Amino acid sequence: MRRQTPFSGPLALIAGFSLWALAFVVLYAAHGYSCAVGFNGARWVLTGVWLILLAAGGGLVFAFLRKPAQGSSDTAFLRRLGLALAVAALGAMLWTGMPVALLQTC
Amino acid sequence: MNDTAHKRALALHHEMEPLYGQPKTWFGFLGATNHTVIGIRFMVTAIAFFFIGGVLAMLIRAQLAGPDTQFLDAANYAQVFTMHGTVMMFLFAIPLIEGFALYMLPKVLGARDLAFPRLSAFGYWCYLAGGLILLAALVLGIAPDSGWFMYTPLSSKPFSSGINSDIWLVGITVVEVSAVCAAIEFMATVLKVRAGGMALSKMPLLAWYLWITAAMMLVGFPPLILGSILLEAERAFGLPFFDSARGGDPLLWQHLFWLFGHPEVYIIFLPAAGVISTILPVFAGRPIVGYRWIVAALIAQAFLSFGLWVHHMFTTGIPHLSLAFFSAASLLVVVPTAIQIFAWLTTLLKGRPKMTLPMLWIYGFFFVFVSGGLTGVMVAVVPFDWQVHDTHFVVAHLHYVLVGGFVFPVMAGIYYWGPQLSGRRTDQGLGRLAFWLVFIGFNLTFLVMHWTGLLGMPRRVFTYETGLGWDWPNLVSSFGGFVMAIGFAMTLVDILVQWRFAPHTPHNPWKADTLEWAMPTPAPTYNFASLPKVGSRHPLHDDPDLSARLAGGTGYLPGALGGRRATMAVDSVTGAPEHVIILPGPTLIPFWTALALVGAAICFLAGFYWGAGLLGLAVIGCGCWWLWRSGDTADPDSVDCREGTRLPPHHAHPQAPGWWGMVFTLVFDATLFISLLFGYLFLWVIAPGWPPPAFIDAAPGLAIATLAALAMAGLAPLAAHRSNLRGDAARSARWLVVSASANALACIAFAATLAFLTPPAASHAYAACIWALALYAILHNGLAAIGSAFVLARGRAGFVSARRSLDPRNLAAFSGYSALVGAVTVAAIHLGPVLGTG
Repeated sequence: MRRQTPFSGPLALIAGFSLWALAFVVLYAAHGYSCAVGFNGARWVLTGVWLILLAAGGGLVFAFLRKPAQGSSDTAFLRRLGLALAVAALGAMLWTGMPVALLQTC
Repeated sequence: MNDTAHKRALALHHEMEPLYGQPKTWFGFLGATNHTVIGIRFMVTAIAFFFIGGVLAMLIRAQLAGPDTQFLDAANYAQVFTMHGTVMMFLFAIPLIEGFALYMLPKVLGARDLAFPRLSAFGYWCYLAGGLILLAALVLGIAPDSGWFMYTPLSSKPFSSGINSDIWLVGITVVEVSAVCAAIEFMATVLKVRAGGMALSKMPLLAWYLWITAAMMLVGFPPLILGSILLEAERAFGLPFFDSARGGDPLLWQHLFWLFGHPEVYIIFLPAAGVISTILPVFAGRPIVGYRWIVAALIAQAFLSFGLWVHHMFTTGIPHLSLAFFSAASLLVVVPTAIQIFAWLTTLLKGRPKMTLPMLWIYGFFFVFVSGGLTGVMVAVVPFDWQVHDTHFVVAHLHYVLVGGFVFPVMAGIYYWGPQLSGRRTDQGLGRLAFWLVFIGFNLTFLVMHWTGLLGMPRRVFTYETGLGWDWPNLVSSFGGFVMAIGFAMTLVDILVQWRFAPHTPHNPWKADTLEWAMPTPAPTYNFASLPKVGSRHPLHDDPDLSARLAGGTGYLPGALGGRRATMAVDSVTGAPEHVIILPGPTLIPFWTALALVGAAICFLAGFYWGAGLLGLAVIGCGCWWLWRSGDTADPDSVDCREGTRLPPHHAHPQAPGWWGMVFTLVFDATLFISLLFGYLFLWVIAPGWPPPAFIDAAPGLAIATLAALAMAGLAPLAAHRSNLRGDAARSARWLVVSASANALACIAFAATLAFLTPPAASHAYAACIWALALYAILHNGLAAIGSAFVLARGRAGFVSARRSLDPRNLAAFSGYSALVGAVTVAAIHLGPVLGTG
């Protein structure tokens, strides 16, 4: 039986933006909590979390690039799509998370 | 087609039509499960609700046509505008999508039915009943009146003491059961039930759109279902989730509602965009440009749409940095939308577009939807939104997006697929005149309404004084509204007349390339006499005679499979044939199950809670009856599917649709649980009145005992499943007894926590949250206990073997999930006092 990897099965389609969703939720929740409890170092923590999540996004793109589009045309289709979505999600993480480094925290 | 082939096709038709059609009796009517029948029922009912919603809109416009109008009083106006939004969103748009997908998915995928035909039928009865509950309330003058998004505290008991809001909460929840069933159905269907050879890379774009939409429904609806349950619990039993005096927060409702509500906009838009991506290339005379880009864009759009909900809450006092996250996401979602629009425009530019009636509606879509998108960018910018929030500007914007992004493509679809449904032409009537009336009327109504909003007119006011500058714009909007209504009425007459009297259509009249045209028109109940083998995204362009060949029996699974309905399942990625799905025939089980559920809802509304509880048990009983009739009591032989292929039936295959149904059910369930946990944490961190006056009493012994029971409840069904796979039925049965006992013990432990440790549920939102979490766990462990006994009985009756292992496998998944969320619940309950007082 053909073995599907995370980079060739349907999960490839949701990997990138699942990470974006995680980053979005973590940043929003951490910010809400920080403001509610009056945490002074929130900006640095949030920026640090954002950078870590961006690094994870970059790692995902790298992982897709390391697995060249080989195998059947069907799995290659999913892998290329997964790569495109991982790149798009990385851009989305950069854009939606950027306010943590630019705006007043609370 | 020569004479012999024609005779063969006719013989196959006579063999299959009685098998897939419904008997013309009450049993046939109530017991129908065929996707064509159920899909048409959904669509017809949804269109009826569209016209009801339209009449309500006309009442609104009549009232607002001039200042100080006495046509409706404030109370009636509140019911009318609440029901207009409710009907259009919940009873027209979503069900029309469901009906369209129910009807069309198997046809474009080259299958004979959906993965779970009985679930479709159940969903329809729930939808109809929920809609009728709301409609009856409207007739009786007790319709919901707190706005279609039911903001608390306006919808809370002190400010809405009648039954009106209860009707919304219960009625809409019943309708949403139908949407969730449809989502599970579509997810499993697109994943598994396709033509042989139809890899994901060769799947028609419409199926991609409907698949992604289904995924969004699966995780988009749970927050609203949860919110409705919590608000109804507050109204009926006093649990103060949204009452700020007792530790609740009205903002929690807004979060839960818009967590559903904003993705809902895209849940409505994406199927309509799928219609455009299907129709536009046909009339452009070339394949769509950027297939992969479009698939990537709609996946990105689906995710991003869940990061926009707070842009409905920009004026609620949320910290500015958080608003910036959502503002950024709101601007970003334009990108995948624009990718699709540019792909469509490029397809038109590179093709030779024909100006047909469906294309006229699509051009109308471009103008209206893009205009709505532009005002969407405006309201995504926080300072601008503060200026126009809750004014008619927002009403105008949302109508441009929803009517432009949904109704216009739907009209294109009705004229495009009309011949497929009716077998008659749809291009010879009043369609063009009707289009222009709708288009002009719509823009008169809503373009001017932007101005009314900028002049400061708030939404939901039932009248206004003269001299504010609102008189003329409102009069123009009302005039335009009636012009639009005449246009829609004309469209209805046009369609009915043409579907009855127009000349018969030639086969595949638009020269389309997708499989729904590879069958006779109107579509037979079985769709395809034999199932196609697909080699590209354009099967009908590859083989223009495909329809005749399939009708003549050349393909997979020709004819009636030993008198049983059947279709084929494939590998989810490559589309290689995998197994045969034996489909159920007509049955009354979905009808009785829906009747019990609706009866429970009505008893609840009437305050007859014991009756509601008993009927709730009846729903579980019907569920057991339903599942008992699935599967087989002997290990089956593989089926000769022709084309050199032999495949096992689904109940002897690990990738059976039932397995995927369980997986997607758990995705829904987990989203609901996460939403509940979010509510608990949100109140703890944000709501006023915390910490609560009293936490639960510390009981580490009980916590450890509960965890032990949960561990056994999670592991025992897994052991039963593994024993069954090894062929050791006796050991499997023993593990099932352990599973039932452990799940029952977990229920008792949670019940003891509530009975002996937890403060009264109505005392504070903290206690209410503990009750909600524990009841969720009790429900799941209770169902897992019943499920264990059920699988044990199924095993004794011969339905389970090492090859037919779906029952224990699904039980292991459900019980494992229940144990996991039970453990999280134990942590949330018992760590609370430690964190709260530490």
